[in-house]
Amino acid sequence: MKQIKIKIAHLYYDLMNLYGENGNIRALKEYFSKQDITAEIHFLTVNDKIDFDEYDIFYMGMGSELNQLIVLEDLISRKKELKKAIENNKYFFFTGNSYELLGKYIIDFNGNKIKCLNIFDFYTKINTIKDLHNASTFRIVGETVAKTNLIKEPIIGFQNRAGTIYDNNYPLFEIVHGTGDKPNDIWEGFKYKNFYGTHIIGPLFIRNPYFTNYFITNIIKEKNKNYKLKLINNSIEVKAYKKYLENFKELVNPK
Amino acid sequence: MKLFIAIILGRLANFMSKLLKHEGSVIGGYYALLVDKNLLKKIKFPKYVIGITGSSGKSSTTELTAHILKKCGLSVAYNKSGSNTLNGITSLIIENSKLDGTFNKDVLLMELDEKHMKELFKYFDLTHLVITNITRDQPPRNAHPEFIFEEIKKAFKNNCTLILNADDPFVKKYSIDHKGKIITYGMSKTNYSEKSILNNIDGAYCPKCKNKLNYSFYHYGHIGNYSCSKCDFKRGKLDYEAKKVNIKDRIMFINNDKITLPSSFLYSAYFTLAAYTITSELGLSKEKILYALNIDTIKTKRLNIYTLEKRKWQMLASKNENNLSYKQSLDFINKEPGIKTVVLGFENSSRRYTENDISWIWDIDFEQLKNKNIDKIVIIGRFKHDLLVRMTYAGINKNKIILVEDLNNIIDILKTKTKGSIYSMVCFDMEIILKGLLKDETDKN
Repeated sequence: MKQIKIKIAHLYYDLMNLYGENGNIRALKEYFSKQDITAEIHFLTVNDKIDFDEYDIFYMGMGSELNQLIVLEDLISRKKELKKAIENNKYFFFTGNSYELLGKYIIDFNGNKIKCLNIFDFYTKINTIKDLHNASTFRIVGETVAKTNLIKEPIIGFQNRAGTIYDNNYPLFEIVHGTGDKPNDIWEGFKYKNFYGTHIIGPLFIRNPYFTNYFITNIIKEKNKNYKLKLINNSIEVKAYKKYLENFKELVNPK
Repeated sequence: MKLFIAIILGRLANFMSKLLKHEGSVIGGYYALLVDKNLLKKIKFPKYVIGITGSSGKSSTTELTAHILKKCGLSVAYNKSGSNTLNGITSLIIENSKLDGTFNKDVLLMELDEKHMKELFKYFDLTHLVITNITRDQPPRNAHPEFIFEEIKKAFKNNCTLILNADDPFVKKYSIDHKGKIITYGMSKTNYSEKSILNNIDGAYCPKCKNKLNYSFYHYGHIGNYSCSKCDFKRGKLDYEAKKVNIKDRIMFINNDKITLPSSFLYSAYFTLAAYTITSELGLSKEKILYALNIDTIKTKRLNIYTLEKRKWQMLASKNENNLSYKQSLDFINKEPGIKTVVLGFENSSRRYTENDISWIWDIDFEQLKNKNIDKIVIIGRFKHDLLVRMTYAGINKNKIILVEDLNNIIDILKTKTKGSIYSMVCFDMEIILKGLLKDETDKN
């Protein structure tokens, strides 16, 4: 059987790495390895040469609002290749505020409009309400549970973000508990072709074993449709996932 | 007249609170401000109004600074930990003011909450502000280090002398546009400086020109000696530099003065250095400062060392949602000799708020526990399965891990299933529970 090799680009690893987001990359590597597939990870950042044809998966995590702008400046010069890679069905998994950069613009805290990559039609507005009822009072913060039609099991995680997203026509998740793209919105995240974007942190791939499995098996099948997928042992991750749902059942079945 | 009533009422409320044995007096400040919300504008402040803030180390720095100031013959009013927001500080101020609003001590010294301190300084100014560090800490409340940078910035003006830990680029960043006086402190390379995968995650880029910073060494996290690859931003020359830091022998040198450290943790070198810097900067006698640090020393907090069946059990309070707090506990454990058992885990991420974010466990170098001297890792609390996932990803053999389903059994488990010295690295509320269980066990025998 033909050996599969997966190459992952961890984009802006030294800028977009808040909230334990490195766990997402670790989970991908682990799940591929359980399928006897080596995932090679390249850590890439500002000014590095990035050949978009070379990689199967592109990952970027959550960062501060300042770091997000450093990334934007670097990414603008790569817009054409990035757009081409998305259209060519390359896999993208962007968490936190990283995927805001692909929208039309971000309206910052002072009301300034920052032009973004304009690959997708949504735009971001930094929240200006200062008395939200949560630990932060000015950011959207809290536990999140969501549904998706991609898998039957619910998604669990957390959100800690300043951005609210508007004009999003391709949501990824339907919120069961927590906040969607903006307060009182039940839709969250973005999916177009194989581009996935979500504000759910966790790290998401660590805490959602069913979703991670779904994600990597799609990639493997696409690489080699005859590849014999194994029934993997991820019981430790599954137990943590189930224990959370058990301990926080009020979040899954809201009254 | 309003001021007079506000001070009287506030003090009365504090007095009542003390009678009820409530710790920390926040209530007096609350009532006093209710009577006169401009009270703080009317106080006649002393010559020195000193603030101490940062993500960690602020209460130790405040305690030690107060100790030195007193030994130098100054009268000091300062807040004991816990009352570091508007009401707490107001309480402290009215307790130390005459009824006409004249502050009656030589120095007002305040440990300040980094997120809320700006509320205070709408009413009065700081003469000196010590900033210890800005790190990842309680993200649901504090977002991220750059946000905290901005919050602290709103609290001082150019008339304030800044005392900066220059080893932290987030702190040194204040020097870029501060027009007032700046004093820097920092630590030269020690034997404990080591690279870890987590060095790179914060403050990796120059705050001035956005190019990557080069580090010649890291103390821990993003704290170390850096310079920008393109512009002039760098740690630079230090006004007060700690050298030859030896935490085992508890000795270091600051500008050639030999100093005794209050404990064998690296952070004690930092808070001692900060306290030395601020007190020296006030022009106090060097002999007296050294006397207070080396001879007539502060009573150190108990080291939290207990025993269980003749085995040492050291409790290392580790702050949840603060990766560098855990990192320092891990570093400490790694340096200890012999076979070790580690206890960790938590019931809730925070005792301040109800949100349970657990992503921070992926920002901690638990890989350090992959070590042949670690006999067992005993995991407790509601998120034990998430910690088990983390340990597995750290490459730790599952035979070394014990999950404790019922916390009441932990003493038995430690006695029968583990070996060596015990190190618990849990947050304060879990530590209280462990102390209780250990006490029950000791009382039994």
